[in-house]
Amino acid sequence: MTARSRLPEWLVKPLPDPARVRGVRAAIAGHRLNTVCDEAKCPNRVDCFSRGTATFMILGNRCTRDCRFCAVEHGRPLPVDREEPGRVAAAARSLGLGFVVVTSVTRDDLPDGGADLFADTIRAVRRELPEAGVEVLVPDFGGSAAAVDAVLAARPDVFAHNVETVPRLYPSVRSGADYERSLGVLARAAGEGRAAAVKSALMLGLGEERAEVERTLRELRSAGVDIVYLGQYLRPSEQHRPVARFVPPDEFEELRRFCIDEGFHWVSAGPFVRSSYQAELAAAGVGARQRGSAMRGNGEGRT
Amino acid sequence: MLKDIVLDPEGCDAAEFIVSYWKFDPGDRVSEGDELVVVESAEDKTAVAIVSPYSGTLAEVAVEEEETVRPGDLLGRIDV
Repeated sequence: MTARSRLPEWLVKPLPDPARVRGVRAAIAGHRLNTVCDEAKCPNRVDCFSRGTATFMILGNRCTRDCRFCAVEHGRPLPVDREEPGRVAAAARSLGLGFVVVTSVTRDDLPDGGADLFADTIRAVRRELPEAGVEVLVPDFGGSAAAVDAVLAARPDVFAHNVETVPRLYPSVRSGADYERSLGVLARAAGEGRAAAVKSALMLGLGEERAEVERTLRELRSAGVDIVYLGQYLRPSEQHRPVARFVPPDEFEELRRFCIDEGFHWVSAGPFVRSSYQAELAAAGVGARQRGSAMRGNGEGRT
Repeated sequence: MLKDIVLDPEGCDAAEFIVSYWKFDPGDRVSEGDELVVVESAEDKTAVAIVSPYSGTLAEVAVEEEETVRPGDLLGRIDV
């Protein structure tokens, strides 16, 4: 018996029970929706589908940016579908979701970046599933404070925007994005009168140095971020940026402790952590359903 | 009685996988729930372990390491 794998052992996971996967796929297809799970080839998608969850991706499946890490299709975007929020809510209801995560492609072609459709989707889910939590993972909206405010006005439980990597790697990893702009979006959401827990995520293994990661995490905390997720970058195809390093689980654990010491309310850190993976746990951990009340994170979160 | 171990099309998303390694040799006893074989997607970001649905003896390895398999393909057989 030999033991050889191109991916390290900690990145191997069991194939889950397929029965519930079929139901989730049918609900998504039946409501003519996209998921970031499929579009970004998330390694957790079958896990999540087998638990009856998915992350809906609104505003079409074509992104106006072309980040080097991301498998979502790049190209001319589709027209905005005003019926999409209702279909997301109906799918969430048919799946019996207690926590609904909604993200989108980046829509630099739209004046509001798609903020209005995010707000409509939050409201549609609230109408359909009043008890469910809602998390939105938004693009940077070109740094528009009005767009951020429009999303926040719909009262999501969690407002997430991912910085993805350290600022030095932005030109080669996220060429259409700007680190300071992303920090500004997070700070706006975390500002005066906040109604949502604020969340961000970083991928590791893109070529960043440890000191850069720690500095970025401190800056996220200073911007008011409550929840932070750290995961391993995995290359979606040969055309994407190569993995610079597979970060071992003990380094994720060190960084998790670092984040707790820095004052984050919830930290998820591990090779398979993705920004929407088991999002309901983090939201519950910071008491995000108790809108307007004080955060009560236990600081021990991880997946 | 021989039972087939198949790469379940519902549980995996990629069109093609490479067999990374078997955790058992033919003739080994296996238990239900044991991870039998690890396959990796050449086009995706996943490495998955195929779990045995049966207890018995690994009677046959149908695909060797480095071989390509597709969803629905036979991986091996277990004598239960």
